Amino acid sequence: MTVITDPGLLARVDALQQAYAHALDRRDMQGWLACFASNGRYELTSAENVRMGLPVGMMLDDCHERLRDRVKYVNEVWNHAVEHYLARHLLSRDLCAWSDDGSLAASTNFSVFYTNAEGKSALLAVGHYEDIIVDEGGALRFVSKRAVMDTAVPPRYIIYPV
Amino acid sequence: MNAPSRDLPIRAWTDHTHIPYHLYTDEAIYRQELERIFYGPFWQPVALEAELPAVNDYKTIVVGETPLIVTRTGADEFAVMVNACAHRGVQITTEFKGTASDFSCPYHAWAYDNCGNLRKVPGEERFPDSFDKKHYGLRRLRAVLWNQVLWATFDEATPPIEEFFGEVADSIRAALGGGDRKLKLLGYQKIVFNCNWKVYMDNDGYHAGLLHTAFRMLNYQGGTAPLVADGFAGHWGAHYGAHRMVDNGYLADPTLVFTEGDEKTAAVNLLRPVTQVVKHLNAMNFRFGRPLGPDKTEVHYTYLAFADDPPELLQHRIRQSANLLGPSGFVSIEDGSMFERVQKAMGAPGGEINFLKGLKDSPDGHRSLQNDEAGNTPWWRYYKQVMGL
Repeated sequence: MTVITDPGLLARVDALQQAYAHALDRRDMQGWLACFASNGRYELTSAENVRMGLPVGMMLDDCHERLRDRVKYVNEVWNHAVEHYLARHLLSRDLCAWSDDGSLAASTNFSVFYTNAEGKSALLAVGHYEDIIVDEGGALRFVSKRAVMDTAVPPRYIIYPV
Repeated sequence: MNAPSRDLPIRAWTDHTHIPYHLYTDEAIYRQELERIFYGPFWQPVALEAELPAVNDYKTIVVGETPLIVTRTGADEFAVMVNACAHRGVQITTEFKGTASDFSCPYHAWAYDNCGNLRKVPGEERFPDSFDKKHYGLRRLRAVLWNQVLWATFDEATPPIEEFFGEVADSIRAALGGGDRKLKLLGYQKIVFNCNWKVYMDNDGYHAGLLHTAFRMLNYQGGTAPLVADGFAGHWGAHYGAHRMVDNGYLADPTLVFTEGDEKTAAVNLLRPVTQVVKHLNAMNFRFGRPLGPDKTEVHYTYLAFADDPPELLQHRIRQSANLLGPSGFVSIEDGSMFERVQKAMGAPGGEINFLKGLKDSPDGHRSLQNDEAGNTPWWRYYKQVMGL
């Protein structure tokens, strides 16, 4: 592990994280999908599951096909019956480092607030991302994004990825 | 003077197929449910054997509003105790899970073994002569291991567990893979539904093909298997030969809805008061529920595999479990939405919810069909009786 200090590279990593949050805060699932590499994966789980070494969490999209299916879940399958909310992701970069295998590993803290249709807001989850980022055709993309919630028991059902 | 119209008297409850809204919102009703149901003659699950695989493993869980410690004290021996020191009532542990052969209360260092027996008390020489450690153990609950699940009850009068579940026992076994094969824990999905625990437990088979768009998109119309409502308080269970989902090209990764191996059985069980056990395709999940007052319900979805699953099947089960049937599941997320929308309407005075489908052929609700809702009526008949309403 070599900590990355290059301001230019860190700015590019930050821009990817911001694009990710920006998409989710606007329920833009295509924008969310665009943040992933062509072999990308996404996982949402709890720190509790991670501590116990348990593989099943809240969402597991371990191939690009599943990422594309999740766009359909949100936009087509669930749309008529779920109670939508607006998310706000507040992110804070923790650590960026080169892994021994040459990939870029980024840890970023998040807190996600939600606001329902009545305009009432609360914390949905707090936690951190463990990401592996690659340069794909000149743009940074997530080859793996794992959202680990310290919040083991969210206060409502989660519709959109975190 | 006439009372203002908003103080109209609550409609008298006469019919267990029509349930007044106030039973789902009233704080006094909720307190009475704790006493008569959650602390009454019911077996409630406190642990899966797979959650405590080794001797001295423990977990904590709340039943009703009572925090419990569940310990594995031997190869096939477990203890269920109230998680409160016999001295001042301090929680003995605040961890969800761990491993310990004994517990020490941090307040005054009273020490217990993991069966709840009090072993050491600092300063005992200055206690009254009548003090006897034997009388100051952690409060133990009756518990029984049944189908790899540990069940506990607060009530000495709770009937034997096979009698408690009656004819639904077969369907519970089916959901847990038949009972012989060792289960293994895959993970937790925990969630709060903003609804009364009975709204969560009123769920039915009527809605499945109507609410859950995913079933329609996959041309899956649900089943018409028999549903049996039986046992002590009207649990219901339906087990049936699962239809295989046919890939119609909708999903880019249709393995989400594939059935691998020779598992042909699906089963859905609603166990009173607040437990659900479901097997669908290759996903097995056991749902521990818990009321948080009259208007919230916490549910721990616990996913299982067989300990002897070959690696490919295990991997398939993990991938299916995470995305299919949980609070954010492809075919299930809408349930939570309905629960919460039902609860929001329950402030309306004089309103009631009703159960109708299936009563034509099964007036007592004992045997209806999987896509009916009549299976909930035996429970409500019992509820009315046990609550004295």
